[in-house]
Amino acid sequence: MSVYRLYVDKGTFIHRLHPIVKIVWLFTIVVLAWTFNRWEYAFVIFLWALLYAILSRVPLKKIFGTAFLFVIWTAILSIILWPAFLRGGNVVFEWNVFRFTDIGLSVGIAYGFRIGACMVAALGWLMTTSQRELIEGLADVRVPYQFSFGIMLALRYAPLLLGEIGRVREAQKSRAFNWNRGSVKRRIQAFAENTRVLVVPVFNRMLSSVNQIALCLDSKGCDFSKPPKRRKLRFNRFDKGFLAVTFCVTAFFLALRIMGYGWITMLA
Amino acid sequence: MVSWEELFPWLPWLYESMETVRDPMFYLHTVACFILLALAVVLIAGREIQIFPKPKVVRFHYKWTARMVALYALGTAIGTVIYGFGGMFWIMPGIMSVAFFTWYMLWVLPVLFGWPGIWAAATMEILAAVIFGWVNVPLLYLAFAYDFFLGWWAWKTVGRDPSFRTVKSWLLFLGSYSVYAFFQSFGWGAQYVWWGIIPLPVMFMTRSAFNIIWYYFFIWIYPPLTAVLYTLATRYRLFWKQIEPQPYTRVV
Repeated sequence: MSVYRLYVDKGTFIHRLHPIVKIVWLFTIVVLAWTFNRWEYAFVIFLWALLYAILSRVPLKKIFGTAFLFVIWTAILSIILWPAFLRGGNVVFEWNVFRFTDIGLSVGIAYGFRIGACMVAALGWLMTTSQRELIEGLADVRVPYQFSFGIMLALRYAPLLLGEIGRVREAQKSRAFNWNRGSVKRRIQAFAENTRVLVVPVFNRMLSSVNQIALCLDSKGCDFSKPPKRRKLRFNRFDKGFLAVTFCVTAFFLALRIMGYGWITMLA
Repeated sequence: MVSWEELFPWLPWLYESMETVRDPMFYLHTVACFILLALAVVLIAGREIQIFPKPKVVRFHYKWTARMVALYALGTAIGTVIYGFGGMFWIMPGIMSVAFFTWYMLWVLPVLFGWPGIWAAATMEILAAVIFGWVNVPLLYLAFAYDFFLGWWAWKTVGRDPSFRTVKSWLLFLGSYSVYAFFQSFGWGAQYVWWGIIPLPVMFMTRSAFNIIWYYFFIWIYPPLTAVLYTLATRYRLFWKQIEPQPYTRVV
């Protein structure tokens, strides 16, 4: 059984923040990331998201190891494809059928930073919030207990599921099934076959585990109709200070946006 | 120097044809989104609209048992993993993708598991977007307008008989899925335009038409895969009708 968790306990003041403060911070990053489409502003928001990860001393290698290829792939696709749709503005350079304008390029690069900021923020949040705090945080924002517990369980399930997929793939490979070889037609056929030989065994194993988990929960006396008693977390001065800084920075960037900075009208 | 028009001579005609229906589609789906969102709120509040035999709003309740919570967690986890690691080919990151396995999960989880699946469909969309960095403000309510409410729609229609062994089952699927795919493929784009994520000219129709083509193209995956998963779900007594205590009771 693969055991994998995102939480990295470094004991910094970021780790000790109230779970609600962390949720609010994540939400403000999401709002700010989608507020600007000029690349310079999107880059600053990306750095703001990265600052949280640096302050919390979570290994950046782990953040970028998880997300780096994804972000790079996103950035490359965005830079190539947004200019294909946004053809308004001044032409920066032309190559064959591709015409890159200043608007298209800025929006494309900004997209890479936007998604990078959201991803760094989300991973930073998950790496600094333990599962107990996650449930407490969600409960504090009035998410019903069955959902907060279910989300926590899902975050534990996901790595197990990846492990199961890997194991089934290995099993199929050992039977000489490989969908990455042969002609295009053969690969398409193998891909369709992959659906059957991968999805069915994975579902089979996961559905059997649902009954086991339900049995475990029942045997521990879990009652989802009434939430269990939990410790009450209080806001301390660090929480209030962090929240104040978060609100000030968010208000500053929103004010910039309202004044017309950081946004290009997208011309198709 | 070759231009797009020389390379694909039918492209201008296609764009013009799509742009002529752009505004009606845009406003139709803007309104539809809020209607679906209102209906989702009604469902969350424990009421649903009954059409037959007499149109009225009825109350319902269901109890969250350990099996339902485990199913909800499983559905969310499967959806999140598939969203990020399988069946997702990005054409334009965050905007356009061929995500047939994700689309399939959003549809099949409610059909097989009922309420845990419906909630899982909405949750997986938000959770996966948070983890993989695609999260944006409209997504937070679109997940309920489309994944949650249309999940309920799929459950109410195809969920009655997802065996695909009867004519009724096939007719329910074809009728229900056409409506489902139409709203799922156009609805998100309209809200993205309002929030400035994509521009209305060209991109709204391109994105929506692109989505609907793939939604209908991959329709052939649904019946065989659903029939297999239905067999598995019934084997483990996890089909929504078999979860005890009966999770869905109307209050008389």
